[in-house]
Amino acid sequence: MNKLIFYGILLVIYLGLSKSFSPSEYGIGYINSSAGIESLVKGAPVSVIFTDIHSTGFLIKTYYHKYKIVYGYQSYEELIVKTSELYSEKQKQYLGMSVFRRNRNGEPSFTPLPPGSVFIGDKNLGKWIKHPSGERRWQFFGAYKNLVRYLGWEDFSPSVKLKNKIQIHLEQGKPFFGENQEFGLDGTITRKVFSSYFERSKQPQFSTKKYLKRYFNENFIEKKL
Amino acid sequence: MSEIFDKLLIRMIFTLYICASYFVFKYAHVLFYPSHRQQILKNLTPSLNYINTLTFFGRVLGVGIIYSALEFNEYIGMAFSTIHFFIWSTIGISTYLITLFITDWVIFQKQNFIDEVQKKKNSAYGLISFTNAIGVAFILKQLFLVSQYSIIKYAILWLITVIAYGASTRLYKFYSPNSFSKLMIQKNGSLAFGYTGFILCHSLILASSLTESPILITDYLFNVLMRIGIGFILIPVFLFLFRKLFLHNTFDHPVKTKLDDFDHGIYEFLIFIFTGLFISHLLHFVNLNLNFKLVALAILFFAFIYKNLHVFFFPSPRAKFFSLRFKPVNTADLIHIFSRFIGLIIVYSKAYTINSPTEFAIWAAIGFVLYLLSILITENIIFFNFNYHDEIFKNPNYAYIMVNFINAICQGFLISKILESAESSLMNLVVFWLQSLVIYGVSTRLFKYISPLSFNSLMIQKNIGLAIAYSGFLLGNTVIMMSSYTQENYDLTDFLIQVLLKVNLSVLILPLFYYGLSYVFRITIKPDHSNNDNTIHLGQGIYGFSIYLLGAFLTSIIITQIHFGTIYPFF
Repeated sequence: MNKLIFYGILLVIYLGLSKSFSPSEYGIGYINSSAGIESLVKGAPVSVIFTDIHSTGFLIKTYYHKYKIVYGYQSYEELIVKTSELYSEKQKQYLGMSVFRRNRNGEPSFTPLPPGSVFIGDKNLGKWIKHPSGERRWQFFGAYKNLVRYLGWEDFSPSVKLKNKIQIHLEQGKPFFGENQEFGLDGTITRKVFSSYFERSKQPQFSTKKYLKRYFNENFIEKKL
Repeated sequence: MSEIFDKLLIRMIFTLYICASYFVFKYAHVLFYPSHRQQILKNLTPSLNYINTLTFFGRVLGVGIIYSALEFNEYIGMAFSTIHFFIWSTIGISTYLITLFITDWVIFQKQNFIDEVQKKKNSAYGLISFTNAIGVAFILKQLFLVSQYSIIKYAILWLITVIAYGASTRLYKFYSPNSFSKLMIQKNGSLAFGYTGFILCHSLILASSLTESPILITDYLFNVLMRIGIGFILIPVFLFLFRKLFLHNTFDHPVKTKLDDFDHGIYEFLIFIFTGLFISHLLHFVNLNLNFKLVALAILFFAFIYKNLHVFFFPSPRAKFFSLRFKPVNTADLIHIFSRFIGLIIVYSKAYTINSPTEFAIWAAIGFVLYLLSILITENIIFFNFNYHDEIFKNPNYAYIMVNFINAICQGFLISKILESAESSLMNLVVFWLQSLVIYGVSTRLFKYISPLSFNSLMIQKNIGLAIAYSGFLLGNTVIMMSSYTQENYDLTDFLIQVLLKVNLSVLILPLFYYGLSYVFRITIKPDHSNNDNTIHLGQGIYGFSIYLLGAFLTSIIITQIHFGTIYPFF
């Protein structure tokens, strides 16, 4: 019995010390709700885009989220955080969307919206341009033209109508995936711009037969001396 | 925290996997050795027949040594890594058993296992069989490392080394005038020790002939054959030189001046080991460049210095300073001084990259001083109840001297590892040395928790079984400590913490192997302290030695050879 207690104490010491000194613990935050991002993101106006999900581990998985923090007046940053399985599954559908933003007045909001929604209509960053079709669309000033690339808009060009819809969803607290479902897990733009998650998902499943065939080919047949 | 749990879980699963592979080995062993089936089918009781225990655990330990060359890369996928490990462990076990089958047949042409082990309990047979199993394992481990997981390269090199090793075992008649078969029938201890040293000497040379990885197999084969040839030719040369340079073959004793049969066996064992280590170390510099001369000079110079310091540290009544050849008082004294010589060779065994002769000279001197200090401190910790003069000069205690011998070798390994890890930084070296001394010192006091044998009382009784078990304990701790110091050194504090964490992890993994393997091999421990038969403790000692050292080898795989890939998620 004493040996078991001693073993248990050593196990606890090992786990505690490993957690405290593990290199993977340094500089990486943990969130299990959208509100957790707020403290990790400084400045305003800012839009936080959820860009990738990843999990490591064999039996006990560790989940990671990758965010792109796009600021109004500076270049973007990338943020990787650990998260829970439950939160990861829940957030998966909002891939490629802005899951947190802070407007010019410093007011935060967490409703999933198209990336850069907080910048649309901000007169300090751009203006509405009237198109030949008669529709007014948003365009950033030349000094902030890189925001289009940072936000991964591609050919997405927000109109006044879209801006109004964003505002309604924001007030209701309902996620908005774009007029034509451009954003989110099944969004056309998301799949094109933030493709790394989808490419990883497409990797072929492990096949023992194929593996053994390749292994024996490389080691027994093709191996040149 | 989930990451840390997951890694620990993978390590535990892998531990179970290795134990399960030993279960397979147990039955595979019967296929090659049908006459050994009693070892497998019945419960093994080490105390009943220590020769049986010795022969069987030699092979079990050998498999552990071969396993220690394998790696497991979790980051390329659990399934990939497990299949890879399974394939290569199967190849390893199969070739190991085939090699043992061949070499046992070459060595023991006129002896039969059942007669020698089960009926006659021939200790000479057991000791040689055990050493052969260990020697072959060292060679195959090196084959694993150099063959780069190519079965063709592995097969070619295996064939060459088996032929060379088999042929070398028949060369003993050129070193000893006595007939192997005749002495074997007589269960001659002198033959057993001498031949054991001879086998180990050749296996060390063969293993070190395979150091570099092959690029072009034809060039590599030529290189290997050249190294083997040079190594074998150098054996008689260095044997002659060491006998003439370092040691008298008589004792400086008032009554007994000539070596008897047993003393001669021990003398031969020691000088073969010393020669084998020396040549195997020098074979790394086979082109006879500056490094070769520097390392050879350093070993010989510091061995000579130590020979004179030994007289100063442990003065015998007739000791002479600065004599060219050391004259031991008795066999115990001979073993004692040889342990330091062997330890010194091991201290310089990792000095392959030498920037300048001056720098090397400084590091060699520092290594020498640290080695002597380490031995002094650790011996005081282990033998705080014993006095050197009583145990060596007055009434030779071979249990004492055996532990002393192994401790000196363990310190040699540790100092060489620390010199390597310090990466030419004196600050690193001092801190690592102090840390290793503390860990080693504490570990020496934990023997009572893993063995039913009482150290102090049995040591007073000169019990060899205890000495064997304690030697395995010290060697096992050294294996674990060396693997704990095997890591990248980016930051001193982080390195020290990681060493402590690895030692802690070893303490968690080692009992799993210890109890797991005892379960796999169905070991029955029957301590019988009332019986004065020394062989009961011998069996237990051999079992304790093997199972602890094996557990340590396997633990070292778990703590250093499972790679988890990058520490930061790249995605």
